[in-house]
Amino acid sequence: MEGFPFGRHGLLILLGFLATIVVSQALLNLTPYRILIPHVQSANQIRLLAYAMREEPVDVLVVGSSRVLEGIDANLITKSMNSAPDTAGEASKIPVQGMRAWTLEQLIEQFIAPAPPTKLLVVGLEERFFFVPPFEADSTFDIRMLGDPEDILSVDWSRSNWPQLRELSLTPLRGIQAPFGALRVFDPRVPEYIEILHESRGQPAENFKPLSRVEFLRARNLGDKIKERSKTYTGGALRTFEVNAFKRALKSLVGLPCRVAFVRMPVLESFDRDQTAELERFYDDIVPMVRAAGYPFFDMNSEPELRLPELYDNPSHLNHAGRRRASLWMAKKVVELGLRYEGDLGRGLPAGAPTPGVPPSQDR
Amino acid sequence: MLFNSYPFAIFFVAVWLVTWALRNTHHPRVLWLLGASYFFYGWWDWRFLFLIALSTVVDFVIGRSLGRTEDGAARKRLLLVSLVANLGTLAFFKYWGFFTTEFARLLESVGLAANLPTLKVLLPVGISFYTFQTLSYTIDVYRRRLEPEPDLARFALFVAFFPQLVAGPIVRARDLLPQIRRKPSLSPRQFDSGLALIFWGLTKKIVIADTLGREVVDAVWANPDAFGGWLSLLGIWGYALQIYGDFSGYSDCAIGVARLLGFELCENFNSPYRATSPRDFWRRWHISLSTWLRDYLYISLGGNRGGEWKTYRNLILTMLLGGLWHGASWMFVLWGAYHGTLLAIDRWLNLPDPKHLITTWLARVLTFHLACLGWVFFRSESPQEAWAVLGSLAKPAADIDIPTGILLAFALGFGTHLLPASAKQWVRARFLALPPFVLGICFALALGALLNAFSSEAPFIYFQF
Repeated sequence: MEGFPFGRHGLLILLGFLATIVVSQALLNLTPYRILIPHVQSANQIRLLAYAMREEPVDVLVVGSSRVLEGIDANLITKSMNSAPDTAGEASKIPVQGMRAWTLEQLIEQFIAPAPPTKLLVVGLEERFFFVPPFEADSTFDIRMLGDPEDILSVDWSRSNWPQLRELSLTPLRGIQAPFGALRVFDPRVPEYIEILHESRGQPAENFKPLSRVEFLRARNLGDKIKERSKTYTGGALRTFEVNAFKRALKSLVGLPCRVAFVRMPVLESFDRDQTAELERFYDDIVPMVRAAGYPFFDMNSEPELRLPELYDNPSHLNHAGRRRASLWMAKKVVELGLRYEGDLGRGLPAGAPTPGVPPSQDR
Repeated sequence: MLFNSYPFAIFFVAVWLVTWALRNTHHPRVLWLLGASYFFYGWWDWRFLFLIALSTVVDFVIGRSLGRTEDGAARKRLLLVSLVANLGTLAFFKYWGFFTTEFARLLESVGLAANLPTLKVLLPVGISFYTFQTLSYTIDVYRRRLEPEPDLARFALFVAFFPQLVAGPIVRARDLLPQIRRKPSLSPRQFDSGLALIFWGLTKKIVIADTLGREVVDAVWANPDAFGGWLSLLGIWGYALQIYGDFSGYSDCAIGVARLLGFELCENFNSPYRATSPRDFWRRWHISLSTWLRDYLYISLGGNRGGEWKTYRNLILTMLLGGLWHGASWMFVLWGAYHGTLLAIDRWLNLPDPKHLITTWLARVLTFHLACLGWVFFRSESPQEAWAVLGSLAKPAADIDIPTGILLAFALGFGTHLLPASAKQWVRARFLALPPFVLGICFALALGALLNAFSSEAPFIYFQF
């Protein structure tokens, strides 16, 4: 072996290297979960993880896009619910910025179905779920998750793309990264993450359960899928795709052990005027589909008090005052109605229930 | 294929194993390394391979011809052909767009219609580096300082040797060709130090350069007024450390990778921000380029042989062309002229090296900030952008908390310069004296730290030059 460097010396180096990886991987289970939160994560992802990390199921869950993020205060709804004994419980939200109908389907399938709310699911439904303006694309997930070495065995290699494979192949190195993650405790952005987690869960931070590898994987896979899909968005061409995804989402709601209601979050009138054609299709095709499936649809835009310009940060997102008003409105009109109704579980409200929402075509 | 990328890790392990499996052969080993180098280069764009192959053949043939003729005029003609071919290629791929645009602008400024042919020329990666490398070979053969290489494969490997192909160090033929000819060997200590250099280079790149570039420099340059005062100064320091970490990190990786394959490359950086004068700075920064410019440009222009003023002129001209070598932009020219002027002033003042601790550190701080001023022009795309960054220094600083990671990157960047050479040598020696098992643990932990800091495969800054 003259001149060849890999004798006993090289083997010992390799041994030290591999031993460190194996030992650190074994020690990883003792590491607090916060250290494992990758620092390059979008807020969307943290919210998904936050939901997955709940110890106890939530009573009322509001899902939707950035309009729900900006427009709903789950703590305020919780407070409102707890003011009456028959509606007492906890509300939470999962806002996914840049949400589409397909994202909703994925969200229901991967996050809500495994841990559904006990009483009511409120879906913030929007016309933009079905009409994607050409300038918009979903780049909402920047996922750099660490799975577990065992995940490698459960992966369908033929369906994985290069970044997924690369990331999975690095999973055995998760342990040696963990000690350096501890430095993030000193990172000023950490409290921000914790705050998001806290806000999303509406619970004290110490009630978090550790993130399991399944939850990591689920969030990562969903993120990758959304990223892949976003590459294909071109104007209105995806409408059929999104409508089909929405039909599937409606079907998957049937299996949930809670009631379901749909709302359209408020926007400024000027915002609606710019998308008259899209709105007509939305109210003509999508809303009847929701009602035909037996779910109530509440249009918050039919409430003049929610369309005042001073309640908005921008044409489609509420500000702090707007959020407060919209949350109280939702607590009163949607949640109370949903929780107090003594009817068929799992199918929302029957067709005979009062119809709070009025399409803008009738209202204008 | 970047050193800080997954494909390179796979590529290098394969190349390393096969190279050492072929250690007792000569031509198969050379051909294997040549094939690997061409694969590495073709990974960017396979079309670049034709260019490097052409450059190789031209200089190989000219070198052989120079070795066969004693006729002075014929030798000069051959040298001229090499200069025209190499510099012509470089000029076309790197400066065509720049010069046609500037010439058209000049014509338009005097009222003439400019309708010059414009081409969208793709800049081949590393062309500036391998062009200078092949040029040095031909000039050395012409100056009879080097025997021409008789074997095309060996010469081609000298031109395309992948560890230093795209961003240096610019290796001289007299240093590399003898190593290609002999049977490689690698002692355990060389193995350890090669691995350590790769990890250290990646740390400089990922922890210092990428962190500061992403979190500080880009933000300050994008909107200098949003920072102001000492925060803008921090942005400028950040760029000084970014470009050092990026480029010297690449050089360390290149030296480490080459060492693991049994080759020794020249040192390219020696704590440049410890320099006590502009002259000292250029003895420590991008050493392989500064010595190349000195040996093949400054001396060819007459060096210091024509009196004081000609020396100053040669210094400024050399650095101006050195600036232009970095890219087709007036900002690089300005940066080169600035450093040429600094060198001329330094020579004119002819101050002795500081002897006392306080004067030494004062000189270091001054030289560092002179270098920083140059980096502002180097980093900016226009004089307006540079003025905006410099102007923001006079404005009040914004109220911004600096994350710990950034402070650590600054500390590491400055720490590598603050430590005296003897202390660094001591640390290096102590580290390499560790038992191999402990070294393995250290490398695993270093990999963990790198993966932790790694956010994207950011390309090296010097790839564009």
